[in-house]
Amino acid sequence: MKRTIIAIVSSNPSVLGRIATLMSRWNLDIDCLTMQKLGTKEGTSDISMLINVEEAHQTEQLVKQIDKLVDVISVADMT
Amino acid sequence: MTLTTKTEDEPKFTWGTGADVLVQSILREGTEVIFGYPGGAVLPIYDALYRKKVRHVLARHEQGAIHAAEGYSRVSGKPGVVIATSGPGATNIVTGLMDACIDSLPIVVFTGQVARPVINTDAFQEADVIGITAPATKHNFQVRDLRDLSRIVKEAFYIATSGRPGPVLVDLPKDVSAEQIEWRSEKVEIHLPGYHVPGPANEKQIHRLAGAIERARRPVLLAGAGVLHAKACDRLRLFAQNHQLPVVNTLLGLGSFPTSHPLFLGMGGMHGTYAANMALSECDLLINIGSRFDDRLTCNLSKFATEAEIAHVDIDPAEIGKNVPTKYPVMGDAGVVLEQLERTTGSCKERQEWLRHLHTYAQQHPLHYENRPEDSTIPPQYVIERIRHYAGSDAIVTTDVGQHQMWTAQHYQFEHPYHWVSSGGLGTMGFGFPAAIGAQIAEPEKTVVAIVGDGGFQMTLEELAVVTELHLPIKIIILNNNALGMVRQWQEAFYEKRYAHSIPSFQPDFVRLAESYGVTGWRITERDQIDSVLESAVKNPDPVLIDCRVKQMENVFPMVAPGKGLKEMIGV
Ligand SMILES: Cc1ncc(C[n+]2csc(CCOP(=O)(O)OP(=O)(O)O)c2C)c(N)n1
Ligand SMILES: [Mg+2]
Repeated sequence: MKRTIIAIVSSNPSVLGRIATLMSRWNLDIDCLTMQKLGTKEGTSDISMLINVEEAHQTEQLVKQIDKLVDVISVADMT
Repeated sequence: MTLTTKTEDEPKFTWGTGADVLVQSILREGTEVIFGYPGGAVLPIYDALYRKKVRHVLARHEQGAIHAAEGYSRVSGKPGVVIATSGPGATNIVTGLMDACIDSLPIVVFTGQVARPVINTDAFQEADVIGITAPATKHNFQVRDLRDLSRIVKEAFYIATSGRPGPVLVDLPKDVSAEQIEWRSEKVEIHLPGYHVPGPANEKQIHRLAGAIERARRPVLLAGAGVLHAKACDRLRLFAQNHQLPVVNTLLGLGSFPTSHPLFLGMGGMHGTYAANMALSECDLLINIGSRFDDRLTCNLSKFATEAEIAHVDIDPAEIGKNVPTKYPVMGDAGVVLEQLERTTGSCKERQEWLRHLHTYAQQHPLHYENRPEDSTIPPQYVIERIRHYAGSDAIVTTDVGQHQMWTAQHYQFEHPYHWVSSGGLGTMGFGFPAAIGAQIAEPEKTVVAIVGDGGFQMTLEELAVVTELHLPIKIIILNNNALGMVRQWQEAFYEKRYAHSIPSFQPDFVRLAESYGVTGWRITERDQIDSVLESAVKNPDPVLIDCRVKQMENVFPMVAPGKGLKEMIGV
């Protein structure tokens, strides 16, 4: 099933790599990914990902793992 | 999250290097000792250490340094601090980082990096340390601007020690640590908007769990290392006593509940006691406090606690529901939650029958092994019992990984918290001996015993130099079966005794090896030597290494074979 995950992160060069590492560890293909600096709050960016998972439980766990990253301010499954 | 501290007793206005700022910032965190190894990229840092006369333990391999820091941290509860140089120095600590990460130990590592202008040029001793260590740390930083350094150090210690503890690495380019800066005593504020430490647990969750505990007829408490990190062992004991809850420990939770307590069932899992595993299998409410339902504990998940409702108390929300569906999730620090539960839980169902039932299991199927005085070979379990006899429950015991580790966990009978140091999640051979160095440094007055295998000891034995140099009176006991015993056991059980590379044809003379390092070495080959050698070793104020020859073909039992459920133990 397709899920859309949106994260607000501290803008820094390593944050995307950290999230990508999790995706690779979870063996998840990313259908679409965008990252953008937020005009509203300096030093923060928005990452949105469209992924394909087998069961909803997986996204729940993935979101928790992404949330653990210190550079991630908030994250949610917005599907 | 923003936190402010005032800095005191610091120079008001002088010039120094980035390395001076680093050392000052490390000391400001209360650091008493640094474990490290120098090299080109950390020369400015070592120069600053020289000026400050900080206590620094020179390991003989970076892996030794980080395992020592882990042992220090396990015993003291304080963060272990490590310095390593760039490139090979940094890659040599990766095993220790992963070990600390999976076992939740607060470690702060500073690695040198090549100078900023040459980063990404494949410069001499350059490695992408941030990339390599990201999945092996709770967080890592590279300092690109000296003005960020004191803040980053503060953040590193804060992240390492708060919430679920873990290792944090700070990568410091050489030109940053060499740069001159006007040193001002000013407030350092941390700024971590994406990092949250859970406060007290949600009262609704507490009420639901308290209700379940009151109702349960066959409850069991599973206590993991989270209880130790939360310094909640007294609370755990009171709670278990007040509500008549039998207690099972994980491997790393040992010591959080006294082995001699009537409610204690022993360690659960692959080599756990029969009573503990049957309690986990037959309970109607399983209350996991601070353990992560590791597969060595649960064994086959589809057969795990099938009759139970699961409650899971954890400070790390990502652990809850990760491996086992959880009906009663409680997010919070084990100590705070136990206090909340104590206040909320009312009188419970009568449980005498359940406790008696478990007691019968424990009596009918205790841990056992064959020990015939007429046999010429020595059972390793018996040696552990004798070590326990002479060193007592006050000794700190570290182990390496393998059969000897499981036998120690089974037979040492831990009574007190923070006296048991072992590598659980990663199962890192080479951990046990350097961890004992850190433990002895944390507790100079205590007896520290390192129980190691002949295989694993050879992975970090170079640290014998540190033992002699610092005159650490560690007792190193090699349970020498002349085998990679745990591997051999699996080959015996599951590969029809095809002992592929598990029985080495050569091993060093450990006694002479010890002596070449200035450590007294003794050998036990006969049963009647055990008592006299162990007794004099424990009384000896010097470091001692004992090469104790034990039965080669002994196996660790009971055991749950891979794929089996906890109920399906063999060798009971
Ligand atoms: C670094 C590392 N390499 C390999 C292993 C796999 N392994 C687990 S136990 C074991 C045997 C350990 O032998 P020894 O240290 O003699 O202890 P024993 O099992 O004989 O008590 C091995 C090779 C490991 N845990 N860690
Ligand atoms: Mg061995």
